[in-house]
Amino acid sequence: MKQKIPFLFLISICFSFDVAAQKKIPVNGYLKDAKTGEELIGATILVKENNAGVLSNEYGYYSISLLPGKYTLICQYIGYESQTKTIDLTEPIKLSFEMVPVGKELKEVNVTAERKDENVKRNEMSVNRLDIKTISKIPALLGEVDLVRSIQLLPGVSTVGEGASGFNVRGGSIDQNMILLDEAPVYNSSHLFGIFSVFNPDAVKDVKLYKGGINAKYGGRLSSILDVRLKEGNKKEFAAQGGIGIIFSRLTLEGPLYKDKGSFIVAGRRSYGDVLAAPFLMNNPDFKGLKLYFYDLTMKANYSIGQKDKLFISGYLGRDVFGVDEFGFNWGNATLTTRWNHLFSNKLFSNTTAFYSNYDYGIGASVIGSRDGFNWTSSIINYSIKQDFTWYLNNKNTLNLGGQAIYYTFKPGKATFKSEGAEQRIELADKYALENALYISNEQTINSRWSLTYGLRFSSYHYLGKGVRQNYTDSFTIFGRELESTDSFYTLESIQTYPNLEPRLSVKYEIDAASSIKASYMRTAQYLHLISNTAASIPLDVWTPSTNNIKPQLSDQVALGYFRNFGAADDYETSVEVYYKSMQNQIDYIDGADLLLNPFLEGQLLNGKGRAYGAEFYVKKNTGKLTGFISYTIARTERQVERVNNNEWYPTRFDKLHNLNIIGSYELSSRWTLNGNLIYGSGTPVNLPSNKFIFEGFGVPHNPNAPRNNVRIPDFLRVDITASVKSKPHNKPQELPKSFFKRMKYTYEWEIVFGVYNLLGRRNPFAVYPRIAENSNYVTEMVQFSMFAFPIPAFTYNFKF
Amino acid sequence: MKKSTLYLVMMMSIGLFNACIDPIDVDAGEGESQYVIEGMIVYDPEDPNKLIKDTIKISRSVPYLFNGEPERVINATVAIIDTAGGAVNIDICNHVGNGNYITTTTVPQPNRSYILLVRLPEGDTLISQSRINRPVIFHPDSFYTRVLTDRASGPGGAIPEGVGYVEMKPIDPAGLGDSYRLKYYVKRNPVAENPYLKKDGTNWKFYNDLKNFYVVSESTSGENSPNAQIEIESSFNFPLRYAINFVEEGDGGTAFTPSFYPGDSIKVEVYSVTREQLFFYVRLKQELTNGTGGGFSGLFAAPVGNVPSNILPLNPNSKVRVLGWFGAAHKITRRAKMVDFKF
Repeated sequence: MKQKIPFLFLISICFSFDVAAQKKIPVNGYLKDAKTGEELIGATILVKENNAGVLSNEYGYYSISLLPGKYTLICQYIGYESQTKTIDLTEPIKLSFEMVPVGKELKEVNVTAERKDENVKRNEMSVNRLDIKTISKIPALLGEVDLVRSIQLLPGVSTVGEGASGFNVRGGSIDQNMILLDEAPVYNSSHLFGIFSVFNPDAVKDVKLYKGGINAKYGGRLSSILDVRLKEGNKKEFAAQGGIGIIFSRLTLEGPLYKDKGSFIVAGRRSYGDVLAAPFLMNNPDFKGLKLYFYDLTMKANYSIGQKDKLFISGYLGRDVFGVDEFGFNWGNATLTTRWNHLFSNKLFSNTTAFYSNYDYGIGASVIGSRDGFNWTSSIINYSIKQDFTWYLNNKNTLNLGGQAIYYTFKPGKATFKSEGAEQRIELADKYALENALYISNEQTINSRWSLTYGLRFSSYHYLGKGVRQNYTDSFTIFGRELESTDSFYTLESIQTYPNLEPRLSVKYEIDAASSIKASYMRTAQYLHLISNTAASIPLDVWTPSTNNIKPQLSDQVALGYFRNFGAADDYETSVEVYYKSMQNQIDYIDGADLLLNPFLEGQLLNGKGRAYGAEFYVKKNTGKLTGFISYTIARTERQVERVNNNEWYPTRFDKLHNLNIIGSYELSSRWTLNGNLIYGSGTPVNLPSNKFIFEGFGVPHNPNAPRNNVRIPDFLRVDITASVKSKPHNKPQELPKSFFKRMKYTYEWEIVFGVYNLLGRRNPFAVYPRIAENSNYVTEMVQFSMFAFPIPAFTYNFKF
Repeated sequence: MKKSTLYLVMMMSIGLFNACIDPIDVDAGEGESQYVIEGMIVYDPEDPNKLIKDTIKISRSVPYLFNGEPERVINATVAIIDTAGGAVNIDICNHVGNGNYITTTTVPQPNRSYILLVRLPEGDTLISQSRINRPVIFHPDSFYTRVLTDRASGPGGAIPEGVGYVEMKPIDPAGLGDSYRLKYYVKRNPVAENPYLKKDGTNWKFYNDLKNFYVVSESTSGENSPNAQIEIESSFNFPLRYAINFVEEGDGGTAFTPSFYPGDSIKVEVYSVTREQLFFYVRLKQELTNGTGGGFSGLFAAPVGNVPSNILPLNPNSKVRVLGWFGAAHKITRRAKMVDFKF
C-alpha cells in the first residue's frame, strides 16, 4: 500500500494542473532526418501562438495537445534547418517532420537559432549531450575520434590519467557509471586498455551523459548514466562510410529495408597491430603466434509494422586479444537488444525492451603440444526485460513510468591448471542476483518560469541461490575477517534482499529568456561492485554482486546551477553548477588482499563512505569561424574507510582539484579546419612510503603513519592539434558503371585528418611509485610512469559514399 | 608468466605509443624510525645438535630514499623461550656484532612453539611467538634431474630445449594448515666449459630471494575447506611437481636461470611455516615487485601498503611500534647433481 501512495499522488497532481485537458486535441508524430530517415532525439517542437513546447523522446516521438484552432509549429534541432508547419486543428493530427541538415552556407545563421535557449529552458541539469559532429572536431589520439575520451573533457568528468580505463564523474569511481548501448549495459567500455572505447563513432547517433538530477527511469549506478543510442540506418538509400587509420580501420554500411519500412546499419572495426608487427617479430620465438588486435561489430535494424508499431534489434560484439602462443589474455562485450515501440494512443507511447549482455575475460598460458598450462576465465551475464511508458497527459505534464527486471549471473573465476597432463580445476561458485525496479516520474510545467521534474524509483535487489552465505567474524586478523560459518541456499532461494527508495527532483526557474536557475536532488542505489586494486581498470578486475557482506552502494546528491546565454544570437552558452554528493558502502581492501580466485574475498573487504563536492564552469561558443568550449572543474572526492588511513578521510586516487579543458575549432576555409585542445589537471594522489626497512637484505617500503594517497603526482598538461581537409562538395552525384549496381548513383566524400597528440612532448605522469633500483636489493628510488611521453603523429583517411 | 613478453606485446599492440618510466624526486615526508626485527628458529633434521645457530637481527628503519646502511641495534637483550617439555628454557642470545644476536642453548624441536623477547635499549620489551609446523614429505624418488629432449616437454614451457632442469614432487601431509617456503641453491661444476661458472662461482648460490621466492599453500577450492590457506602463487594440490629453473628477465631478453650444466649440484630447502608467516612473505614480495617489470607495469601497480608484523610491545600502552617478523620452520633439504648430457 505504501508504494501506491506516491503513484496516486503524482497522478492526482498531474491532472490537477490541467483540468481542461480533455478538450484539447493531440498532435503527434516523429521527427526525422530528411536525408537518412533517422529519428531525431531531443528535438524541440514549439507552438508559436502560445509558446508551448515539447521534446521528442529517445525514439524521435513527440505528442502535444492543443485547443482547436490554427497554429504554427516550429521544429528545431541542432545541426538542422528549422522547419515550420501551419495546422488548422479540429481533430487529432499525425504530423511528422523531416528535418534537413544545414549546409555550410546556412550554418552560421541557423545553428545559432536552433540552439537558442536550449541550455536555459530545458528542465534537465547536469546533463551533457554530445553529437558526433562535435566529437569529431576534438583532436584525437592518432586521429581516431573516440566517444569516451571526448566525454572526459566535459565538466565534472575526469580520469586518473592516460591509460586508465573509463572515467570518473563527480567524484565517483569508474564502476559507478552505467554505460548503456541501446539500453544494454556495457561493463568494459575499453579497447586497448582504455586508449579507445568500444563505441564506433560511425554507428552512434546520440550520446547523453547524466551526472545529476537523473530521471527516475534510470537507475543501477551511483554517479552517472552514459546513454549511447545507435543510428538506425539510412532509410532512404544505401550508404557507406569508413576510415583508414594507423591503428585500426573501420567500415559502416547502412540502407533501407523493405521499401522505407525499415533500415539497417552494420559497422565494424579491426585493429592491425599484429599485422604491422609481424615482419619485425617473425624471427623471435617469444612472439610466435602473435595476437594483437581488437575488433568490434555493431549492428542494428528496425522495421515498422503499420503506424503504431515499430521493432528494433541491435547488437554489439567486440573483443580485445593480446598474446602469443604461450601466453595471452582477452576480453569482450556482447549485447543484444530488442525493442518494441507501440502507440497505445496519441498520448501514450510504450517501449518494451529485452536485452542480453555478456562481458567475459580470461587469461591463459600453454605450450603447444605440451601437457602443461593454465587458463582463467570470468564473466558477468545479464538478462533483462524493461517496460517504459511515456504518457503525454497534457501540455504541462509528461509522465514517465515503467519497470525493469535484471537477472545477473556472475562467474567470478574458473581456473584450470595442467601439469604433466593432470588437470586441476579451481572454480569459484557462480553468484546470482535479481534486480527489480519500478519508477514513476513527471515533467511538469507550472507556469512560464517554473517547471519541475519529480519522480520516485523503487528498486529491490535479491542475492539468490544456488549459493552459500558466508558469515565472517567482526574482528580482523592480518588476513582480514575470518570465516565463521556458512549457510547453503537452493536455486532461486533468497540469500539477502535489499530494498531502496530513490527519490528524484529537479526544479527550474527561468529568470528571463536568457537565463535560468536549476536545482536537483537524487538518491541512487547500486548493487554491483568492481573489485579492483589498480589505478587503471584492467581486464582482470572482477565484478561482484551485493551480498550479505557487501552492502549496496548508496548516494545522495544535490546540485545547483545557473545557466545563461550571451550574445544577440545566443553565441555563448554558459553554465555554473555546484554539487555535493555523499556515498555509503564504498569498498576498499585490506593491504595484500587477494582479489582473484579467492573464495573468501568478502572477508578481506573494508567498508566505508565517501563524499564529493565541487563546482563546474562551462562556456561554449556556438557561432562563427571559431567554435569550441572551455570546461573547468574544481572538485574534491574523498573516502573514509575503516582501518584505512587511521580511519580518517583521504583523497581518492582520482581526486583532482583543478581540471581545465579548452577545445577549439577554426574553419580556415570551406575545406580546411584547424582543431586544438589544451588539457590541464592537478596531480592525482598516490600512496608512497616515507621509510624503508631491511629484511633479508631487501629495502622494504613502509610508512609508519599508514596513510592512503599521501602524495600528489605532478600536474598534467597536454596540447593536441589536428588539421583536416575534406573533398570538394559534389553537387552532382556520380553514376556507377552500368555493370555495377544497375545505375546506382553515389557521391564520394573524403576527409584527411592529421596532427600531433601531445605536441609539447610532456611526460605527464600516470603514476608514481617506489621500487628497488636495478641490480640492487636495498637501493630504492621513486619513479614516474608516463603513458604517452612523446609527440605522437596522427593520420586518418575518412570516406563516405 | 613472462612479464617482459606481456609488456612488449602490449607495447607493440599500440604501435607508436611510448610509455616510459623515469626516476623522480618526490617528498613523501619522513616518518618516525622504527625497530626492525628479523629472526627465525629453524629445526633442521640434518643438524640435530644445532651446530648452526639461529640469528635474530635488529635494526632501524630509515627514510625511503636514504640508501646508506641502516642503523643496527647493538644494545638490546634478546631471549628465545621454549616452554615445551614441562620446563621453561630461556636462551639469552649473544650479540655477535652489527645488530646480530645468535641463539646459544636453543635446540629447536618439531611441533613446538617459541617465544621471542627483546628488551630494547630504551627499556621497552617486545614479544612474539611462532611455531614449528610439520614438514613436507619427500619420497625417495620425488627429487630428480631431467634433461629436456624438446621444448614442449618442459614444465609450463619455461625451459628451452636441451637444458637440464630439476623437478621435485613433495607430498603434503593429510589435513589442512600447511604452508611452505622454497629456497634453492646451485653449486657449479668447476670445469672450464661451464658457462655459468664465472657468474656463480663454485660456492652454493642462493637463487630465489624475496623478489623471486616461491611459496605454496594448500588449495582453497571446495566447500569443505572454508578455513584453508589464502591461496598463494599456486593452487595445485599436492603432490606437486615443480621445476626449479626460473625465468630471468634482463635487458637482453628472457633467459632461463639457472640453466644447469653437467656436474652442477642443486639443493632445495623446503621450510614449513605458519600461515601468517607465509602471508608475510607474500606481502613482502608484493611490495618489492609492485610496478616493476618495465613497460606498462606502472599501469598495474597496486597502492603501496605496509607489510604486517607479528612482534608487539609487551606493554600494550607502549608507543613503540615494530617492523619485521619472528618465524619458525621445519626445514627439509634435498640435493641432486646434474648428470652428463649433450646440448
